[in-house]
Amino acid sequence: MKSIFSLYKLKMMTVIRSAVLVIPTVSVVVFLGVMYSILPQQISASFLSSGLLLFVICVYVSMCIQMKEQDVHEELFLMHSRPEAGYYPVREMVVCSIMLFYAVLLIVYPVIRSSLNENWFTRPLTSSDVFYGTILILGSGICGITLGDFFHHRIIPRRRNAIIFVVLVAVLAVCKEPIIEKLPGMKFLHFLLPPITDGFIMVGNEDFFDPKETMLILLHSVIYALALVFIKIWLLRRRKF
Amino acid sequence: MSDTIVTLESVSKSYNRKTVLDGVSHSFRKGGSIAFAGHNGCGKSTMLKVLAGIVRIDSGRVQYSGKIRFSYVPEKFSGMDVTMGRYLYSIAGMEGVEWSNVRKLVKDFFLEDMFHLKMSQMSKGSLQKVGVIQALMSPHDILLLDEPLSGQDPESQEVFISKVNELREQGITIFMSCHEKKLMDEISDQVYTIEKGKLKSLEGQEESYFRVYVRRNDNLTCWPEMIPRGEKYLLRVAEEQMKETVMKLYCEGWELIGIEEYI
Repeated sequence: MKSIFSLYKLKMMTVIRSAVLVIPTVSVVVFLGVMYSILPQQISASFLSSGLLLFVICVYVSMCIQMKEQDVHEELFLMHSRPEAGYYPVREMVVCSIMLFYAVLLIVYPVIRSSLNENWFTRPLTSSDVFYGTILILGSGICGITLGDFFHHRIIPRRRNAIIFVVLVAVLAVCKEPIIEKLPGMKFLHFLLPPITDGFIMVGNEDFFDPKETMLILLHSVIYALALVFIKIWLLRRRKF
Repeated sequence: MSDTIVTLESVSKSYNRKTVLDGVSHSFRKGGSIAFAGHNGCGKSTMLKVLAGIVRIDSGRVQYSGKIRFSYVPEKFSGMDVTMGRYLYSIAGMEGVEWSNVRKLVKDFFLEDMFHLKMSQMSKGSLQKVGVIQALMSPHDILLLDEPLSGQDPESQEVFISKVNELREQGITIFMSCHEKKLMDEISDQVYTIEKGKLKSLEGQEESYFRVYVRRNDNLTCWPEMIPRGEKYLLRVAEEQMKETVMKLYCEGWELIGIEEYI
């Protein structure tokens, strides 16, 4: 366990010391400033938009981190890891921690501001709003980190192709509903793409989260993310270096 | 064979249609020290990676005698966005090694002043030493050395050779890819080259010979064929010369430490 924690700290330190987090941090600050410049806001819309931003940020961060990885160091980390099987989960833990950091910013900021300003939202913010909003934001985040990391340079060696694939999946994920509406035969996209816009469909014109639907979206996100992680780890172990 | 540590069975590996290893079959003994020589791109580094199981082979099989762990000095040890101290501290944490042991290694390799220097700002030779330290701080069953001395100063090279020979005495198996004849002479029992994807012995030593370990008593002059191994010396002796050699060593006053047959 100590071995894994040491690797986690080293990888985390490498990310923090690099410039990877500059653009996402600036994006979050600008987003929060711009988004809440017009008040009052709809509660559901603000959380769902934050989820969408977190998805994009997580795709970017996890993609940057995996592209910055140097095979020679990864080979050594793999050899030093005890147990060896702990190496791959550590990579996920690092991007998950970064995702959580941005998720906390996106959740806590409106909660604090609304407690200071009654007109922050169109209606009073309840604890269930925060709970379900958090679930949707985290669901988007885990989909983002797994998607960005899935097109790893050891799986798709050409960086250009990996970027094209990630952007394609991300764009399709955002606009899958209109596509399925026009072409019902494309319903399988629900399973191929992360459920990042399902929250918008669920809420519709109302400003309330449906608990059952929210939990289903979270379940979908978790299953989707786990599937991507397992397939990726299987491919990386198989393809080696 | 019970003392075999790794066996390659018809191993083939190619990169971009260029065959680097072509149906290589060979068994390597536990505790041996094997060097792979040859021109650039002949497959030395690939051979080390195949032995470590970190590259995927196209066909064949690599078999280990039980659960084997590797230590590895890569050919190109690149910099990271952390300081050398932070990096080594983390590796020591991963291996459960006492930090004081790591500090001693850092001192031995003359890197004490660079603890707080970012690895990405270090010179090639210094970085290579960090690569050596991370492997030597906790040596496992097999030590893989991929051109370990590239860019290192002569003093550090001597330290490296002495440390590796200490590990050999502990029974650690060593595989090395290198160009320096001096290094091969001082560290390796056997030297192979890879030609057109095939493994070839450079010494024709497929026949058996004996490894005789001796310790020097005062005022004795070393024989030219003696290879230093820490405080000991190694002699390679053909079977038919064994009796005569041992007698000569005894008469001169050498302390005989051990004899092992090498096939």
